[in-house]
Amino acid sequence: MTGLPLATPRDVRRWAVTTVRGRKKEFGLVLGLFCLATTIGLARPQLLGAMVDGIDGGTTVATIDLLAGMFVTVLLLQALARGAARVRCRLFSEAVLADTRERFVANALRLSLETAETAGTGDLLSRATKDVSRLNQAIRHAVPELLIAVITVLLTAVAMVVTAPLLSLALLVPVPLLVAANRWYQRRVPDAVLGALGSWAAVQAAVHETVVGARTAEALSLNQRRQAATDALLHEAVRREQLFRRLRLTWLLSLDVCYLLPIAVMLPLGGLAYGLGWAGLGTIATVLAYQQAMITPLNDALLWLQELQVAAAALRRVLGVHPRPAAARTTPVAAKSPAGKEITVTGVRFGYRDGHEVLHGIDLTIPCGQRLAIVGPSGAGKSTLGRLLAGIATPTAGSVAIGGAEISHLPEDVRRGEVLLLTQEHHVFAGTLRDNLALPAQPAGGDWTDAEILDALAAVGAREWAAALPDGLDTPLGSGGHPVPAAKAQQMALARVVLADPHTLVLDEATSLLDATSARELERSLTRVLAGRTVIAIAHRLHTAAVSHRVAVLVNGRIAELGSHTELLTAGGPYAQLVCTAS
Amino acid sequence: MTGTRGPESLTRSRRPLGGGRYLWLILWERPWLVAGTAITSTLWALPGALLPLVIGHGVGAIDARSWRGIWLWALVAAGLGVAQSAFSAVSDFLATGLRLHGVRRTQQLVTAQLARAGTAVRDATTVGEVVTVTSSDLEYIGNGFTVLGRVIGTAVGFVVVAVALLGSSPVLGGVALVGVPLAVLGIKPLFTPLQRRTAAQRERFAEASALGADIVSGLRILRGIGGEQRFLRRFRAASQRVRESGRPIARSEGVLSAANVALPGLVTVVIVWWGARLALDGTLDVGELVAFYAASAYLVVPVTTMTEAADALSGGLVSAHRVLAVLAVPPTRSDPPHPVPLPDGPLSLVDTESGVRVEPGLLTVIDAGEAGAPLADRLAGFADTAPGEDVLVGGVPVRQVALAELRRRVVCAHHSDIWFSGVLREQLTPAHPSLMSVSAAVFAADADDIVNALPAGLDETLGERGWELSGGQRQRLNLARALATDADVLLLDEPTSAVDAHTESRIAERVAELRRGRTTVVFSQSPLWTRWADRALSLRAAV
Repeated sequence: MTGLPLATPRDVRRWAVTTVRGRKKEFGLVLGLFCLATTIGLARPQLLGAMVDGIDGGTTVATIDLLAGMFVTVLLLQALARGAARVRCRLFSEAVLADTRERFVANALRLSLETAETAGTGDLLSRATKDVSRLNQAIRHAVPELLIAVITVLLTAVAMVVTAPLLSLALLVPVPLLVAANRWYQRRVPDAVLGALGSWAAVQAAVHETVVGARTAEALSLNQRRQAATDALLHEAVRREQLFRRLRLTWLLSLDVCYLLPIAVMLPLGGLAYGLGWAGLGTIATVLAYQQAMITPLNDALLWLQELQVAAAALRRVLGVHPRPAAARTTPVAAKSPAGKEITVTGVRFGYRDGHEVLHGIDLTIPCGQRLAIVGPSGAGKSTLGRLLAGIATPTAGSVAIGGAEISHLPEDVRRGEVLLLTQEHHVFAGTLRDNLALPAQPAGGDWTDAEILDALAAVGAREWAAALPDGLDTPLGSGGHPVPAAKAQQMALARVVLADPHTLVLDEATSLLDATSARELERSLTRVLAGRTVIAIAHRLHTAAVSHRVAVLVNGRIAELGSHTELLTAGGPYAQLVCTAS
Repeated sequence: MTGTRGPESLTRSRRPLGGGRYLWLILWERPWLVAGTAITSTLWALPGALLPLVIGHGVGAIDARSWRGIWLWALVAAGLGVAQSAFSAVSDFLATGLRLHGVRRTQQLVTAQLARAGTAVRDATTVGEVVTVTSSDLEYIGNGFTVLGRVIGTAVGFVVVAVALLGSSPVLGGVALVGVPLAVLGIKPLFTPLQRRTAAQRERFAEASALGADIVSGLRILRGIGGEQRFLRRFRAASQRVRESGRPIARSEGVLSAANVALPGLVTVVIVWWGARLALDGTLDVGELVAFYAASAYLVVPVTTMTEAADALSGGLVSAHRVLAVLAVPPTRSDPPHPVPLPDGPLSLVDTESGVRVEPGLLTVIDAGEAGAPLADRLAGFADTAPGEDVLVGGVPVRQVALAELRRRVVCAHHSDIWFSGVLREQLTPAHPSLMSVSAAVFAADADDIVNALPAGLDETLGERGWELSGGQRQRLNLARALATDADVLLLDEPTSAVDAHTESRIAERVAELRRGRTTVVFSQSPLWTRWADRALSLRAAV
């Protein structure tokens, strides 16, 4: 199973740039307000310096009181600016997060069926929930904190240099260590974080599978084993986190020295400057206060930066869900639209893996309006042929065309109007029965009426069931709603198809979850509803074949026999044997 | 490294668990880690707290032009830097350990709960809800644990600074000692609306997240038939509700952030102003004034740390509640108070509601149509019987059989069973020891060809729900898995609904042979099964 790709770091950068560009005004406002708040705050050590100089040189109580009053004013202004910045920043974050998660779902909904199948629900789920939630945490908290911290560090450094250039030289002392430690760390962090996120995703996928298969596990006493499997994955996730924790240990060891070192250097420098008369005591006090004020934001900046890296890793997983057209899909053939409804299969070969071919040269023509049944032993390649006929997979060699256009090259929405594949896989969405059925686009562009939906339910023999539901079409179903037995879920899937009304339909064991009698009744009523449509029915139940116009018998990836039910019976070949066995 | 006590000790505690108590119990499973985090965090906070004094003495030395003093205090500052560095790294290491412990234990408890009451949890909540609990709620609990160390450290730092201030000037020390807690208390009421609003937003987010999970789970269907726009609209609406609920949060955060600057700042102003007046009197020297300023600036740190910690802890509490909601779901069926053991050997089955009697040791094929699945559920004790009706297994009412014994001896394979990801052989090997070999079961289910076609055979790892196999192939593997349990009673619901007649005929013959002498019930309408049945029943005539 190949998982979904990760977006590259470049994609993440591009995302950041376009996000900021798309909300230039809001972002500018946030940035401006944070700068304003920090700049106002920088006046505080200057006021301290003025007090110290005043005391050193002798001043009045009135001056001290005045300075204290200014202190209060500065403080209130800073608080006001900081508060406003936080409000704006949160609103900005909420907008960005909403955009990102909506774009994720929109992109997921545009994934090709092929990608959606190979990706696995667990991986997608973990991206849709855990990674999006990690992103929430990081953008809501890391972005404002990091902005405040970086702005404070930069502006404070500028203020120090302006106040006392000589003393500010002390700032340079820890720079080499700071740079070296961070380079070492940043080079190792992305892999460690991605590894940890990936293994948490595996834990979640296991939990999801356990919840979905809860009944199976209980019936077969597999509960303990599911628990052990999940615990083993959890163990791996924790092990990865511990690797990450060790990395941090080394990094932090070298980091904190850097904060206090400049103060140690500043004291003798200050003594020298004061002795030579280059700097007053007030200036020295101001600069020391600045240096002290820089420690917390510098530390915050580095810690939040790391939080941001976790977010970037999560973002790579979120942005990785992107409908990238496969190379074959962008060929100019795509431009050609089908002329007619006849399906022609010529020399089709197909394999899921190299050297493991499932279909070995299939030739078949299905005229419009024909009911074709495909039968054959389990594993003969029937479902694979169905997927090719519906254009979900592309043949390794040969062609599957509808009205002369290669099906798998058609754009998804065009293809869906031509041919639909219905398998025995079903999912009941958390929503009302109406939500569950009204998936296909209504031809007139509006909503499906109750009458249309009820007719579709009647066509699949589920109208009585629907009528018996507590709130009829508005009964909530799915996880947490009214329970839907598997057979009913399958009937719902068929009702959707009836609403969609494509001219060609591939039914892959679409009634297999129903008992034989109900299945036969359902197929009879479907035949009436779908009269005139091309229907390709893959089935092991032979009554389906008996009512079809033609039957294709697939054995070991080849068409062994093709003809009407009666023709094949008289031929006495594999089909006749199958019928003989079944009765 | 697993917990010293089993998860049961937490979930089956007699007192109903509150979120706080839950976190507390988890925390106290690692007393040494808690103690280590507390001690190293304190040692990490001390240098920062002592720094104002060092700065003050340094400036005093400069003022007095004492080079000995200058060098001494410079060296002390450097020494504090090294100490802070070491303790910061170690305390972070231990605090992360605490976070990992909280996250791991919670996940373990949820996993154990799913093993104990998986079906009940699925019915009581939603799949998306469980996934949310094991993702974001796990993170929130972890975050709550991470801040603990810093809370302890900064609290100690605050006390150290306050004591040092008291030593220099009782008045100023008193202002700090009273003022800073007052500032924290002043900020606290601002937190209540923020917490309420944050909880509301998280509810909105959980809804959007569950919707996203549902969309992704049914993605293949949406991509197959349409409805993407409809679902995208629903998701957008949910997502915008999350965004809207962020608006009042932004206001709360703004007020809180302003208060975080203003309230401790006012304490600083009072200290500096008073200190400057004292310095003017000559009661205080300039160095001490600078130390007072530095100390009061440091005092902001405990305030912000406490407010942040309150935020993280309340987030952890909300999540603990949500985890407990999942953990508190009781299993659908619990053991009877006085279990009656089942008789040894093949077992008979009686369902009074439908009048079905299954003789021990025989292969019974029942053509029940739609009534088959509910009947199988009743016989295997998955569904309740109607009032006044009963199911007897080996003559014992099914309600009176211990659950573990019932599941071991009566196995019901449903056609909607899923194939779990993992190594093929592991899943085919039954949970309870049986005399049946995996290969015999695989042969009977006519699944040899599937196994042989896999590159690693039985040791092949299949992905999520075995989706790389066809429906018929999965069904045969499911059947092999059920056969391998070699249970005394095996109920098979439509076991061959997705395979062709040749295969079905082979399977029916082989299963009849394999299960000879044991009770087997097959719900099927196929004549291929009836041919091999010892007894065939039809419930249709009665309907």
